[in-house]
Amino acid sequence: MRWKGLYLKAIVLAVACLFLLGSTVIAGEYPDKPIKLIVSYSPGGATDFQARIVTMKAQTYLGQPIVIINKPGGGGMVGWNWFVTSASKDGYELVAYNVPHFIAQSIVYPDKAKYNINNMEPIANWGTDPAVLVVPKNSPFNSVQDLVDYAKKNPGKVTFSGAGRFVGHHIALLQLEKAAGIKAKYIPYKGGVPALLAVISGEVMAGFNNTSDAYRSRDRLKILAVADIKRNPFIPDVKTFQELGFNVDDTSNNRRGIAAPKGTPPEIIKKLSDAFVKMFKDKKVQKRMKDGGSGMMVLTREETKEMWSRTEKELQKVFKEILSK
Amino acid sequence: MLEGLTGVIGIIPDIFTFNNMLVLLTGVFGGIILGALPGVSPTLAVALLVPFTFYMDPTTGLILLGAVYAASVAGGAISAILINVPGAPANIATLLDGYPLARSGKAQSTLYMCFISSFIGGVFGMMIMIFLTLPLSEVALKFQSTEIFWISILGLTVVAGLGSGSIIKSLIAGAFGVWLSTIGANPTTGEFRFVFHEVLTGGIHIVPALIGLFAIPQVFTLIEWYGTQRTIIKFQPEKGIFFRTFLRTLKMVRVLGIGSIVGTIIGLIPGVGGQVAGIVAYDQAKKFSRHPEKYGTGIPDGVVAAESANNAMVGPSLVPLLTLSIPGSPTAAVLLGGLLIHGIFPGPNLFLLHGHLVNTFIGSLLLAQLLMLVFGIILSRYSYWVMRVPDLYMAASIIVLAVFGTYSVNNSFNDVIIMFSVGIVMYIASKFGFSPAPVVMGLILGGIAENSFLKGMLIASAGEGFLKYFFTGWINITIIILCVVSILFGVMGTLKDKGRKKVINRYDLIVAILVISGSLAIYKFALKVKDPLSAIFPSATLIIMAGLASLLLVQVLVSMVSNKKLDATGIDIPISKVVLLFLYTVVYFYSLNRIGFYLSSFLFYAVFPFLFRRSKDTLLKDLSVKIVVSCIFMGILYFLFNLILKVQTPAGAFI
Repeated sequence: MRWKGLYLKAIVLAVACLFLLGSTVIAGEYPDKPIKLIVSYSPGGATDFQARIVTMKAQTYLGQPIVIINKPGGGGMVGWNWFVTSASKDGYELVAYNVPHFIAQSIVYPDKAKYNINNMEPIANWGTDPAVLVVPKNSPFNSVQDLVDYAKKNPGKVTFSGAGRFVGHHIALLQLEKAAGIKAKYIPYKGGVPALLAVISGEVMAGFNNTSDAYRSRDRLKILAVADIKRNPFIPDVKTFQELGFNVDDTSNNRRGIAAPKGTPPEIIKKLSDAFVKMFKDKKVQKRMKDGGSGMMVLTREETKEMWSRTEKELQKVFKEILSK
Repeated sequence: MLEGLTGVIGIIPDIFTFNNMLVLLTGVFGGIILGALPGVSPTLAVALLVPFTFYMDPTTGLILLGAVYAASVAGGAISAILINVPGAPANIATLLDGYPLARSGKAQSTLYMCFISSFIGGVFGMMIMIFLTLPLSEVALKFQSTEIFWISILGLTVVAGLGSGSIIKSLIAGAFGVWLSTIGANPTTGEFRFVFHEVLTGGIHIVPALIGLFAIPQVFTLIEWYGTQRTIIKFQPEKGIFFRTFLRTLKMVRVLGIGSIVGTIIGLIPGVGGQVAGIVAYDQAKKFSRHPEKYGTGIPDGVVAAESANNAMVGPSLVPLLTLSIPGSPTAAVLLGGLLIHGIFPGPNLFLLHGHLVNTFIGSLLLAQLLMLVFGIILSRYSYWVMRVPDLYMAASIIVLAVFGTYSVNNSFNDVIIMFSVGIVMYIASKFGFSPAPVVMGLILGGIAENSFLKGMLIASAGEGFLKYFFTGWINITIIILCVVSILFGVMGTLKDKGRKKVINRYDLIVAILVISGSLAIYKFALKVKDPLSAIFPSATLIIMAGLASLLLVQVLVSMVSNKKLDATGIDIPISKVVLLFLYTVVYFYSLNRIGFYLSSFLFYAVFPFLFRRSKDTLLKDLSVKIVVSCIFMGILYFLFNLILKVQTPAGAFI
């Protein structure tokens, strides 16, 4: 039984070592260990990709690196639900939010989505990706007016692709339908890229898609308008809907930023907010984002808060009609 | 497009700088290892490495990504062959024949064969891609919702021939997989279905289900085997077999050709991806074979067809990405991120604007195929180490790896719970003659089929109407004809195959009644949706499942009436061992979130032999050696994944 004794001793020793390893936490000034950032989408997606770029200088601005953790599923719902129910409130677990997605889901699925603008604390906003209206290169439509005229004559016959249900692209179409008094057919795809492919291949007549992706495929597309309140630096020639006389504002813009769970100490939120705003304005971060074709829009905590509640009000109006059905 | 090839050859000197060669070698070696870990699919392997390329110059970064992509696709076969758990969905077909071959003592030559056919398929796919990039991109655009719908139906017809049991049971398993795919939010209507528990909100992801379906039954089977008198094969290095295997593989021209061509075509179709290339090629090879009955029992042709197809798909799957800036597969989507970060915008002008860089990328993919062969052969020589691991330790290791792999996909403990639950159901079902491969196929293709069907319905309702939209266009017609041919082939095969063992068991009566009542109950009580579109697929699937089970019932009743002898083999489950393993695993899972992955896995591993040893075993003699080995293994896992690659594992109070 000599071996048995040795074996048990070895186990006890190894366990003790692991305990020691695990408990070497020395309390210091926040942050004294890496910060986790939950991304509710898959690695390689636009949100994940941008989150990695904008946080790459965290060591400089926060003194600790940021580790990206992907928790994809249910259009973002899995990650955000996990975040508001299970994340630690000590500032070491943050989340990347997507407006209008998470606000729209909180309105449309009040029983499935446990998050809303009241149980997440905005830290800072880093980017915006406005939706653009695209048609295939060989499409007979050369302007928004052409498309609207056709849709008026053929109600329910014009097909529009977008990246899913209740995402920015869908919201942009709902706004356009209301502004122009038309009825169109929205076809949700599983993500922006398949939705764009559907426009390029002519499967659908038109689509709302991300500026960055449409810009990359611009030699196979016509970009008719941008759903924003101002023109986009990547496509300065393309007019906004408002310039063209349609009341479509920036509610549908895909805005991304960082939030903390409600209950995180205010001094930590303040510290994070200051550091993130500075980090997002870092020249290297800005250049990398521009190289990737992603639009920057840096907002402070207060500005983000205001943007969230403005978006929620507008979305409640937009969804009122389709939800009452 | 000859300039394509000269362009690629022209950059080879660039790759041969010391730095780049080092990156290429590390990428290929690491890629094989990553790919071999169950759960770490090529997509995940590439995604883990993209952040590292932020700090490299574009050429080096692209070499790394290309090398890891090519090598991880091939690496997935290692675990399929050695431990009967596929490294990624693409490797399901590989294990059908690979594992029986390995168990009969031919692990090394099977792996040789697998890497040689991977290399041949891979180079074939790359060549097609280099020469035909632009024309192929136009073909890729032709695949729209209806075409993809029919392709997925064609894939589902393959299900009938999978698995060793009866065709009806394979079809029931396939329908069950399709039903699993409908759990969660429907992407087209946005409605939630069958969310019986909060854990299911995100639906059932393919990779965790894949691990559960294969790994968990495997673990229970190993525990069953342990302690029974089984013919023991001495696993030894096979000597002097390289050239023999090489020539033997090359002689399988027909199988290699089927694999490479099927893989190339499927790789090109956006959205279907490489997950099904291997299995479709396997099915085709079987149908064209002179002895289809040998497939599934351990025939080298099966491995060769599956692996040549898997790697042939790599090159073509990049065509839509490079020419249209549209990634055709999840892995290509991740690669797009890697290209964008360096300011490279794929598209038709890519070769003009960044010709040098793109050629470097393609060149490194080609070179990676060659290095993959070399490393694969070297690694295969040590495969007997894995085969020599006693069943008991192998069982414990597979559970730990299954948890690690499942968790690393989405960093979600829900997935671990789903993985284990699905696995337990599969283990019990396997006792009644069901196999996991059809379930996985159903799960993969069900989601694609429903999604493209509903989109097609919406588009058709705005335009030309359902019938015209789904049944016109030469690609649609061709695929529909192929579906019909595939079904006819299957039916004829069954009728002709008189030698097939009568697989009707007396328990099938209970199975049939259970499936009928279960699927009808779910249909009646659990399918509550507002939008009729959300109900089409689940109700059709459940009704088909009930219909298939009724067929099984009829089959059993007919045999009973005609007084044919039913197979009276009992369902043999060593209850006490199985219950003990189940409870012990539940305790392990419970501890994961409390004391962390590494500590609980270590304890799990250390106590395991005490629980399951046979009384006469003198097992403790070399135990300390094994514990040291497992400690070193865990240490490497921790260092490589948690510290370098920043993979998350369930964490509690400790690591």
